[in-house]
Amino acid sequence: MEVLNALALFANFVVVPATAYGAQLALGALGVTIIFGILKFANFSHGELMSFGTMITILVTWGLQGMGVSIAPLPTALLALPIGILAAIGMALLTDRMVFRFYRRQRSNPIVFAIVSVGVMFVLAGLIRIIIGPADQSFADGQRFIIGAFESRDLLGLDEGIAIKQSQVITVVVALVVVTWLFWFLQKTRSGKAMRAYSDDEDLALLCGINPERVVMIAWIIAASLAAIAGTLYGLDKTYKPFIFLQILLPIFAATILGGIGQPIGAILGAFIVAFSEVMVTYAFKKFLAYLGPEGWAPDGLVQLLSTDYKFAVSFIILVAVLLIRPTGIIRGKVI
Amino acid sequence: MSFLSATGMTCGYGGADIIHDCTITVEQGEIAVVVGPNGAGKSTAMKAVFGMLDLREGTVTLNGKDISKLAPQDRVPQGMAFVPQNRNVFVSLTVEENLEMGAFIREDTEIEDTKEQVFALFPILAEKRNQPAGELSGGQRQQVAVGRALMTRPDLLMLDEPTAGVSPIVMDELFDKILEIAKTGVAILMVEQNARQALEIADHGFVMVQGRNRFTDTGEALLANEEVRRSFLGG
Repeated sequence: MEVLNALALFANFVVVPATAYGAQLALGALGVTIIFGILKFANFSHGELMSFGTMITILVTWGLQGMGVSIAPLPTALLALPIGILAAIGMALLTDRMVFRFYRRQRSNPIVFAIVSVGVMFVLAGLIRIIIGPADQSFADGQRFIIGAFESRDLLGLDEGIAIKQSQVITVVVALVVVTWLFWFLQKTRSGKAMRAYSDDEDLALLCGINPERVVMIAWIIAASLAAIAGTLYGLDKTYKPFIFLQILLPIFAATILGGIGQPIGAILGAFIVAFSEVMVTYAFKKFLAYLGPEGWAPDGLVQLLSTDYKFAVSFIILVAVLLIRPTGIIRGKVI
Repeated sequence: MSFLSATGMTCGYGGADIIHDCTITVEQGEIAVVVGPNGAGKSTAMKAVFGMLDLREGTVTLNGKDISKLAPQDRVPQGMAFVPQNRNVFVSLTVEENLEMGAFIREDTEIEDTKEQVFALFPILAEKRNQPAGELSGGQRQQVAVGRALMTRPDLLMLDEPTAGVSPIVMDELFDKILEIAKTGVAILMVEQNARQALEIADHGFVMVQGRNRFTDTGEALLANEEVRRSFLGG
């Protein structure tokens, strides 16, 4: 019984939130991976692209809420998401046309592209702050919990319940659908195969008659869609704060590099490892251990490895460790 | 005029010219081989024919049509296929996907038929169709590369040292396959290090030295030529 309570506690505070967080990171990391695979640079503006797509989704959500449109119990944001995706795609294609294409024609070094993307990141971040401001925005509505803590406690007959938020379920379901579609697209369709071929060898792809500009365009469309979806899911699950999208770059890049750069499956794997590490390292295991230890005993401290304020340090440590020990990542990817 | 006629080509990589007034011709169903010592400009001539280098002088015509100004990717729909010496397969794609990418520009519905023809020509590829091309041996990779080029149903197949780095047995097999391809009416132009074996299957040979045509004759005649033998074929 005590063991089950400990497991329920662990599931409630670690497994469920980390799974949802991992799914959000995976969508973000996949976007970075796609751009790296096709355009061969680390796109630092990806976080702000997520933010931009989310911002538009929020604005549309507010509009819909104002008109009284609702798809309760689902959050209205899901209805607004397609517009957010389109806006993110538009912004990605615009920045490509106005900025990245110039450097592509110059055949610039990847490091130049990466620095340019930092510039794009700052411009986008400024734009977002002008439009929606730097403050927290709440836009989640609909049902909050699929199953609440008390409900599940009674259902399981335990002292500890497993609360599952609706946003967490939506996150995982949407991520599954999107990732399945993405892999189907890359593996089975003509355009998807052409993208993999282009990623593999640009010159040979050119000899096969694959149009590079078209491949680049599809890559941006996919990356921007993933960004808007990931950002909106993150915002629904937690909250929307513009500055968070600079911080979230770190776990996203850690996931991308840990999984193997340019490897979509690696990005997903890396995302979940990063998410679980982050949540586990910052979780206070006191109560968990108290359940497992002898009756009436509890550890003196919180048994928390790191304060939650330092959660980004976890990604940083993972990033450094991977680069030192296995720079190719789990699934052998390219080395930066 | 020959089916492929590249005449008076002069070009280089930016600075100085590498090849000077170089002429290469191929007829349909024939094999033409470019041989010569290292650094003679064989591969450069090949790249010039395919448009990977801009010609400073000279013209390239295919089937009577001037294609001198076309970019390489625009020469593919004209019936040219090129197999580079290195990096000539998509290593992360399966054998079958490599072939499909070869047929990328084709809009017709007979792609499957062509694929079966390639599999018939290279049975080992049919066996390994679902394996990533990067996991194959050197000789098998070359077969994938040639197969991929054939997927466009080219009139002219250009091979840059197809036997580089493969064993003598595999080399003989590859030459046999190339003869088979030529019999279907495809014009074949290849650059070869293994000059003697290549000239044995060649209808025409072009011996290049220091970026210029030195000898041009039938393969047989070049093999019989005392000077060619002494200088380039090791006696």
